[in-house]
Amino acid sequence: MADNYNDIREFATKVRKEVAKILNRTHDSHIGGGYSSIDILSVLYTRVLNITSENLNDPNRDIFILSKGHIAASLYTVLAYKGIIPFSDLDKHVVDGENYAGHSRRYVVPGIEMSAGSLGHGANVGIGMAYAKRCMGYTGNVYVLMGDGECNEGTVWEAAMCAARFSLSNLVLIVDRNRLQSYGSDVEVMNMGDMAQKFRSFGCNVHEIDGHDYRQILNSLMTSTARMPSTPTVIIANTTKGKGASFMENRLEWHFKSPNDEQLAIILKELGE
Amino acid sequence: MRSTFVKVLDKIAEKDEKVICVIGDTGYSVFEDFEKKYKERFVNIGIAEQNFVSFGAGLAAMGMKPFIYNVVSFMTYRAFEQIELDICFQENPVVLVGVGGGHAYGPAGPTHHGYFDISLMTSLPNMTVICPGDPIEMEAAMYAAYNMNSPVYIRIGRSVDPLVHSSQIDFTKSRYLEIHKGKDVALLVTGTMLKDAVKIVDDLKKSGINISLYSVPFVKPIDEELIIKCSESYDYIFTLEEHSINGGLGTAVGNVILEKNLSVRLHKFGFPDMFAPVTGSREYLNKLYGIDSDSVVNTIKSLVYGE
Repeated sequence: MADNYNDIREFATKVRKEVAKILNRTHDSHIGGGYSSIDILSVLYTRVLNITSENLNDPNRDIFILSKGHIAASLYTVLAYKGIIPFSDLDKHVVDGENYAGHSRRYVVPGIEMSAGSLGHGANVGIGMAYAKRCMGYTGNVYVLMGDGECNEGTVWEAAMCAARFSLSNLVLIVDRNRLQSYGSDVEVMNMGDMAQKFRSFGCNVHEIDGHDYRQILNSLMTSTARMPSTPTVIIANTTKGKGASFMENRLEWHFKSPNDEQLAIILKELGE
Repeated sequence: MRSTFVKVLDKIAEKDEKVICVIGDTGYSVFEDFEKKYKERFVNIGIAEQNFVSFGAGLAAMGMKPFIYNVVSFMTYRAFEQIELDICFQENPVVLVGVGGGHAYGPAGPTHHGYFDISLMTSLPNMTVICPGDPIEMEAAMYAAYNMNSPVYIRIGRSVDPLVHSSQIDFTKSRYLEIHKGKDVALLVTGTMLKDAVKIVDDLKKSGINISLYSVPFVKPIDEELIIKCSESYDYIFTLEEHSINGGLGTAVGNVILEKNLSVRLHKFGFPDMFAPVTGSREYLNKLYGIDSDSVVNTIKSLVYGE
């Protein structure tokens, strides 16, 4: 039977709705970059990662590192729908005295594999984890989600050359290529150009996909890893910042803004509530 | 100290398959045998200090026990945020071994001098800072770090391997060592200046002045009891380190004196708040800054005994 990806679509829609509600309440922003990543997160957590609330300390688990830590609200929501954190914990987002910061923090929130916030750290910690898995004979893969603006950081390229040098085929770097960063568009700020070509020249295997097409996301993720040492994979996921809410799509200001009550109503309506 | 590092790491790695050594393209002629023996448990990450530190953090996050070895200045300055966020903040038990503390690479110039590292590393929560002064202290520091299961910075010099102690040390019993018992003055020394400190005490003895000497490898956590004890037994505490007087052993001791309201005078021997103004060997630059043994002897004589 043909795969209609309905489970992923429903999951992603639920997550987008909840993220809008959270950010309407907390005004913590970064909804644009969250919405560009949510389809990728949804595929990972519904179909790819072998993690449950039961195996979070198993060295053979798949590791997901959110390197663009500023979309923590989206990851918390995914973890809640995945049953790894209580759904009621979403009420604690950026609440004084609680553990749900604007950037994800390890240990205090179950399912967070790495504290992130300063960009250009996730790929580097990820290669260390992938190398350790290989060295210790552990199974499971390491997936790192980065922003394309994040790739301005030199450390991303240090990671790319290192992953290739050590043939970390249990590692996948995913770039959310939404082409808008903090102060302007990718082209205006640093113009990362042909990122696929750049990563290829560092020795990585590169898939370039539509980051909102569930079939392409799933296929690229399912074919990107290997047990035996070989080329690491980078997935350039072409996405739209703010994807899912028409008035937010491709608008730089939604890196910073949070939906007010009226905007929230429009978002929920467009998402079919 | 480098050879001691490899020798002890070999012993530890033999018994624990989770131990792994990472270098940043340094240590030529030091690691070859280790690499041959441990294969994938030895990694040269190349000249990329930020990646080097985060890679180590990732190894530890997966349950390995990494000892990561690099030049003091490049590792602790360039990769400071990686040490802060990926190691200390996330409590990843990485042992960072910094080679070339102080003026070890003297003639190479200020790009290679390492004297702000203790200040930086002690400022980080969850970090322990150990500056061993001889191979026996180094061996004890390695075992202490291995057993701690938390981030540790071990700072060594280079090439100079003076043997000061004659028997094994166990830092779980005491974090400092009384090397000589005298009166009036306690000289507290850390790391690479240990051998010089022994000479200072001997030279003063020849002038009829008998001071006490303590080796204090743990700059963090500093042993408060030692400082309190010294304040009760001596009029003067001198600290000696191959590091800036800002943020090193002298600062740590001074903080205890202030916080505990101790009645004792403190003088810090270290480098002033400046970059080396001229080219020079370790000996030349240390003398320029007045922390060579002759200068220290003269300063103590003049400050304490009015000579």
